Amino acid sequence: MDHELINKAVSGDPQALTVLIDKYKDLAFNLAVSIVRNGEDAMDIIQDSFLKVLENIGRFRNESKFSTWLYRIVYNRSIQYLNKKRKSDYINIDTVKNIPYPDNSSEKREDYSKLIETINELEEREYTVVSLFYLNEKSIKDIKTITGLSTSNIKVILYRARKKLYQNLKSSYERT
Amino acid sequence: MKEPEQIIRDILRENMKRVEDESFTENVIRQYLSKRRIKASGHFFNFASLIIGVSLVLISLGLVFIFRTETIVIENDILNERHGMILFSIALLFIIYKFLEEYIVISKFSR
Repeated sequence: MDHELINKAVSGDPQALTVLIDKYKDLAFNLAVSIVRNGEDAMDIIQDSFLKVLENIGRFRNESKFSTWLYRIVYNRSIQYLNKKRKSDYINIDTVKNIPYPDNSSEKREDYSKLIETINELEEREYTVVSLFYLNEKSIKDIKTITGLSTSNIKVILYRARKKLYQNLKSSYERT
Repeated sequence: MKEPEQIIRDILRENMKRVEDESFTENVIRQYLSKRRIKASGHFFNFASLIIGVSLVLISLGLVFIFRTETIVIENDILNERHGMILFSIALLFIIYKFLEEYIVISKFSR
């Protein structure tokens, strides 16, 4: 599906461009936010990244997935931004207070909020890898392409993050 | 009971930060298409000012040659080769300035 969209986007079809951007903008934004921890800067980064991607879309050879290519640019730009601006403006945990929970029972709600807290407390690199793996549904190979981290490093980061999250889930189940 | 992996995936999805600016896609497309048009139209190279500059250089050079061969007197002042050279220098500076201006615009848009 992306292949067709990309072909149309190369010719400057506004509808194809709209579908392509709409499809990936939230995931790209989430990736940028997970790194720079600032919504406004993340917006600038993804806008810049999309422009870069569209300007070079004619050179895209389908050797990797379009999303992997895009996320790699977003990731690199976010890291460049961080290197320039060594300041972390962490997202307040309160911003996720009103999210819908899978279960309406108050006990479950408490359990999930603990898990959200654990997710938000993950180290920046852990959160990025977890987010790419679970949310963006990227393989370890793709995460390697996006982040430039080694396969073993990614596996270790995922293992540690999973351990933290599973421990939290396990204790939640034991409580209920 | 859901699989732990699925719970993590669901929570990440629900906790995902989204682009709230509704005009984001439109803005990106507008910027991209306008850059594309500029590139396609030869970067808006301003030929008019360059033609004026080249004409001024040629005119001033012509004047220099006239002043060398003929004596021109305007209100008791004799125009000589030096006056022609001043005109020539101004025209040359103008054309250099215009070239630099165009170069800056092109490199700005091709970035």
